[in-house]
Amino acid sequence: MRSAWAPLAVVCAVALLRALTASAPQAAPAADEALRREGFRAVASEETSMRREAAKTFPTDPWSRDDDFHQREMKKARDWAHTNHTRFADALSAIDEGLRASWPHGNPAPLLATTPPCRPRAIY
Amino acid sequence: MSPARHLLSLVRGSYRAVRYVASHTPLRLGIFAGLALIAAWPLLSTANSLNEFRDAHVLGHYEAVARDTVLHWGQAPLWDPYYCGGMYLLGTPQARFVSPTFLLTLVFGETRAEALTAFAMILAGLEGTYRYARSRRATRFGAMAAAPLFALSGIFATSPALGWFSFFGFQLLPWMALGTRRALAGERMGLVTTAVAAAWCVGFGGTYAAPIAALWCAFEVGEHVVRHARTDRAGVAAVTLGLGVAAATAALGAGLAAVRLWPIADTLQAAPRIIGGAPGNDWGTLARMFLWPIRPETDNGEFFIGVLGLPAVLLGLLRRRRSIPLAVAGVACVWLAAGYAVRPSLFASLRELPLYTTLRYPERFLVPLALACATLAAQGVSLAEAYVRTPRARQRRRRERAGKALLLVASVGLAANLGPLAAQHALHARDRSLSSPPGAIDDSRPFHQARGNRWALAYYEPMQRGSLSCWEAYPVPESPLLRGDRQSEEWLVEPGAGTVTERSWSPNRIELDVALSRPATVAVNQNWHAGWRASAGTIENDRGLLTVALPAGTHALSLRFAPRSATGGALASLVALLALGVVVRQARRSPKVRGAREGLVLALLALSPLVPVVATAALVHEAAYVQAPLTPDGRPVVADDIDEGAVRIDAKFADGVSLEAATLSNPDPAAGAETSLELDWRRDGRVAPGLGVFVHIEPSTGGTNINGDHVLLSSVLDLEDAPSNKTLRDVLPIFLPDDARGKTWKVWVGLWRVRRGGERVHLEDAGHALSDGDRVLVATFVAR
Repeated sequence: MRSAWAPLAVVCAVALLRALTASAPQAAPAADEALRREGFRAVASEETSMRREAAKTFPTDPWSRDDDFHQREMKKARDWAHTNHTRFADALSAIDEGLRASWPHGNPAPLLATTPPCRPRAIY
Repeated sequence: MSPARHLLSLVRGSYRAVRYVASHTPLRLGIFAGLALIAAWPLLSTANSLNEFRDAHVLGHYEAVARDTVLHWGQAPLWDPYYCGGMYLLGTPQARFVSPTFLLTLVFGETRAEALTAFAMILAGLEGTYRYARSRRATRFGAMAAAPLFALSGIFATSPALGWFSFFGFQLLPWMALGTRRALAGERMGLVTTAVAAAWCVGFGGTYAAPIAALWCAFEVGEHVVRHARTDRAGVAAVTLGLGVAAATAALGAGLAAVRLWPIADTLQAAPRIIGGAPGNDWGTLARMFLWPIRPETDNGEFFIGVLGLPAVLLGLLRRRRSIPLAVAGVACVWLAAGYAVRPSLFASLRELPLYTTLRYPERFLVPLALACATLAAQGVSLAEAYVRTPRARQRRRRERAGKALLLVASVGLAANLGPLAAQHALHARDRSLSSPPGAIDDSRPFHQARGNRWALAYYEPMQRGSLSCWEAYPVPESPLLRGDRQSEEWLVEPGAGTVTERSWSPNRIELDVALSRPATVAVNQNWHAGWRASAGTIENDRGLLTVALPAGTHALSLRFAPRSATGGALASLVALLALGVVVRQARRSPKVRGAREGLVLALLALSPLVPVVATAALVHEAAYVQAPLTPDGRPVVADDIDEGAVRIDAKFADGVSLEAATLSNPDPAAGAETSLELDWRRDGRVAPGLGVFVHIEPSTGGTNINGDHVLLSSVLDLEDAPSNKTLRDVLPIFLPDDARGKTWKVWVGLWRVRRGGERVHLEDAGHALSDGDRVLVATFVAR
């Protein structure tokens, strides 16, 4: 009766094989430091304006406002990475490096290195 | 042979083949695996891709960090330093790694394991539904034909696209229901089935699946009691035995899940999840969610079971004696799914129960409705089969013909329904935004907290960066002192007192060399938690930041994360596992519990996990999370009286709450800038539960109102948890848009029953303010 289990074994093997052979979308090339600095500047230079837009969306909720800013920042970084044919991870890394090393950013106000504590909205 | 006869012969042959397959477990599982493969194929084909949906980033992150903590760092996955400034990973309700599917993650990596988990869980759900339908007297053919109605339903198609793999915990619902039925009949293996499935569900992050499954199990208990509600000796014995074994099942299930339940309880005690609002769905919306196919940007098809299965479901309803309990359960599910849109609201009543206060989305009760429908459909097919096989002597031929027609309609409908069901999975999977997954952890980089970005969280851990940007369903305790630009993650609060050097770093353990000329405090750029232990000095909580007070001298300081709830919970789970092993062994000798002696042994086994829980709680001391609530500007929320200069209002609302004062930080605020409004509340001892504050800031002409409705005072304190007869500062930042300039703005404030139906709380006395329909005018200003 062992052969009765064969269909199950075959299907499970097909599932495993498909998962193991699935290829990832093509990854973009890595960015060098000059490009990362450029990326940092491109994203960070708009921080104040992005935070202002976020404040309009959430005028009375600091956490939601900051969260909205991060969504805008993510989109900006993704667009920049796409335009410059480089990895999105490098754009995010550049923001971290730039903040930590105080790279020039061109934003009219100092960049924030803190975030408000997580306060998920009780009401949607 | 005519084409009609040929077709009839084909149908008859197919019927016989399916009946044969259904009655042979390996073949049945092979067919179910084939269905699971079809449904999960789009996920399997993209298994090495990162789902860019925001929730997928966070929920996948927990799984990835748990894997890396085990494989890369060689530690138990207890603490996650990579998110929110550090959080209790084992105590995070939505994490799914305390389940057997974590083995797939360990072996194949997080992204590939997601697809394989979906495949395995769908297979488990199909077999579970089959067995559950069988336990309700459905035929093998009927149970097999109807199982996909639940296990391939819309929730399992939509969840992977959103990264909500923990919703596959619902696939264990039929197993829990089946086990409960068997346990109620006194069967030991029923107890084991439910306990294992429940613990799996909890460990899998079943924040909805586990509480909803518990309700279904309670329904099974209720049905058992009603069915045996006789006063004779046999009836009383059946109820007593059933309830006894069910209680033992619940105790052992909780014991087995203790490794997750205790840490989660710890987390939610420190940071309760507050859910407001009165969500509801009208009948049309529910029908579209349940029966209509998916349509982007709508709720349609979220819980899709398809219309082609309905004839079988309706037929099942004709089997009155067997269908009534399921019909009752189904109606209750629909009633719950309607939420606050119907009065009286069963969902509102449910939210009064402690475990259920945190449920936000009533429509998720359509998942158990799918199980009810699948079981009814199985019974419908069974009824038709019974008509064909055992027609009564009278009207024999007519009944047989009717039976055949019904069987054909019901079973062909269910078979044809497989197409739309599978299509939902493909459609949802196709809509995902996928990208190349981030690589392995970059060992060359030391760990640092970064400002981060929770919308792209998956990229941070491989970079050895933590993301302070944080979202969770509960308010993760996060220190305002955390920074994302530090050169060193550990420092001395008194800089001139000496030096601190990081010797080694890992998620659960940090080794530091500290040299101090005088007593000083070492600060770590992570959140404090009661589970942190230090080899020297005293762990302290500095506004939520992890710090260690040390005496003068040289210290090889070792900080390790070993919370009591993880140790105690793991021990309790281990004892429960051993107890279940004993139950399995007993079940081989005697499948059913019989007699008082066996009942006593089972009770002792069920209570055994309590021993390590009590022992750990008694032996391991751990500080409670106590954080005085602060306003956004750093003042205590609770004060003896209002500040000097505050504008008195003295309005009194029903339910024992008064608004003492309301003050704008800047009475002459500028457009395009931020100001803040402080509301000073006071409550007496009888405050009603579930209140919220509404703040409507209305312009004199045109433009949009600014809405400042909220539940927690100063975003941190629930009114019902606040001390009575104290001033409660509720500070609300307000950003005035550019187009606010020149307009006169009126600030209206009141209270509403945000978690109790949404009505406004009656204003008894407006005090010094103007009033308008249970709200008071607390300020008027012109924006510069």
